[in-house]
Amino acid sequence: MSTVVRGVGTSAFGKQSHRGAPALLRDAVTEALDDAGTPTTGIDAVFAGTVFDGPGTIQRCLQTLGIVGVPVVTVENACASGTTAFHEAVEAVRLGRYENVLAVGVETMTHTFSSSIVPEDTDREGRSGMAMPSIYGMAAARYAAEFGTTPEQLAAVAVKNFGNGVHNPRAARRRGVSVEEVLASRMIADPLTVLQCCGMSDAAAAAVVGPARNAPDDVTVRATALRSGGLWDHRSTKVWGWDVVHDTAAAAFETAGVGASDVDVFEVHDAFTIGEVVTTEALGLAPLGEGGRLAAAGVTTLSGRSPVNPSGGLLSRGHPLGATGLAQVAEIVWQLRGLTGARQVDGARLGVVETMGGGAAGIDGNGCVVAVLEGAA
Amino acid sequence: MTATTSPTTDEKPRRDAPPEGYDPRPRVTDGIEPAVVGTRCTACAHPTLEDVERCPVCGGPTRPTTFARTGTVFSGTVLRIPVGDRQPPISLAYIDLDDGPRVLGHGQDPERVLRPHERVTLVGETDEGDPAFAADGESR
Repeated sequence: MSTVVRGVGTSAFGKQSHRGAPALLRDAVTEALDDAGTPTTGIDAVFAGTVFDGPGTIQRCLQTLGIVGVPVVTVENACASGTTAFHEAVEAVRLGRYENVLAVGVETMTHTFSSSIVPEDTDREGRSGMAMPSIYGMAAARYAAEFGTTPEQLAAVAVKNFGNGVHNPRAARRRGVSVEEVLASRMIADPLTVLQCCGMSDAAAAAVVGPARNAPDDVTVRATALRSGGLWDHRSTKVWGWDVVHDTAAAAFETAGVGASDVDVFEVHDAFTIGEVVTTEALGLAPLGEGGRLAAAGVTTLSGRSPVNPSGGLLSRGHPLGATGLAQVAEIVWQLRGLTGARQVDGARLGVVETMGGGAAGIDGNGCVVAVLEGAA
Repeated sequence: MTATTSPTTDEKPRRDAPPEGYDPRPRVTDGIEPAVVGTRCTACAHPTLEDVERCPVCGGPTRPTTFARTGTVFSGTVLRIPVGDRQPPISLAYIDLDDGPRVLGHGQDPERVLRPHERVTLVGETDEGDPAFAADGESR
């Protein structure tokens, strides 16, 4: 028996700390339950993702919906927390533990931080001031030196994703930008400018997962894979994150029996423009070092061969860590149902979600999840 | 920012010291030729920044060591936003020490991006206690 996504939902994304996690989570879960046709009393178990929201956040939120008296497991896996919750929900159904599982993620970034994320001071690199923009800035600098990846190629990713996000009413930043505007914006971590970095935002997202039930709007989960990164040290020739995305995607593709070229639409982790470049290579859309050409050449645009981030991605939607992965799942589900209007990828039937999170020094990422989803024929 | 060895007297509290005083950063030896301290596997020779008892690669026993002062930049950037109490600019780079691990270091000059493949030398610690590197040819 296959596992399906029965319903999805999200709150709006943006700076809205005044609303608090319970209200944001209610928005997402109520929409997902209605979409699935599942009453709150029908949920057997909950897997949740959040990184910085405090202890008890998920139960504090769920009780306001009357979702009580069931197993609730909260996971933290950096930027991949939401998709890790999704992966665990799918596995729980696949293994027969539960039949109606809620996967949910929430993050109130602007409640936790006054500006950007402060790195973990018990980490040897976080303690040395290694903020996330700097690790991606280093990846971009390495790509420029090794492969000749240009600032214009990086900016093309932002132009594409912001352009897609204009058509996403839930996105936090909805305005088109030009290559010139991206490159002229404030420098954050050389060579990455502020319009190449995702913004802080607050949101929740959810999905209801269960066994296949012959409902036409359900989306089949062909595969999910979850891995932590390997050792990343002086022996590593690739930039941080490349290998863990590659290996996780390879495992998911093998289970699903498909390859990257079979996929109609991707939602990937573009917290920074270089992140999409590296990820799309690691997923198999371009040879090593040539990912910079994809957006600039139109390969990953809505009408391109392999559309990436039709939602606007993290760059446009925002990146509330726990919510991000399930918002990616929601976008792919809507794409596979043909519901996304001006940002719709025509005829999309097979979609992929990829999320990679980091912050622990010495490894190639804390965790990566890749999911392969299929819509009805 | 100065790149001097840590004083043993007249120490002032670090600006961003955590309450319990745990400092996970690599230790740098005092002296005119400072070096990063770590461990090396006695079986496979894998170098590690952490003070580990067993090699994370092969599981073999380790012994304490210091690593070469010189190395090559894997990549670097200058961060231009505050990070906690730290104020920009902050020059950060991954340095592959010649006989040792990849270590996150600070550029001695906070405005200068340390470029991939540049040769660098450990010159001590920053005022905040981070390993500090200067590019070859850069005044120290």
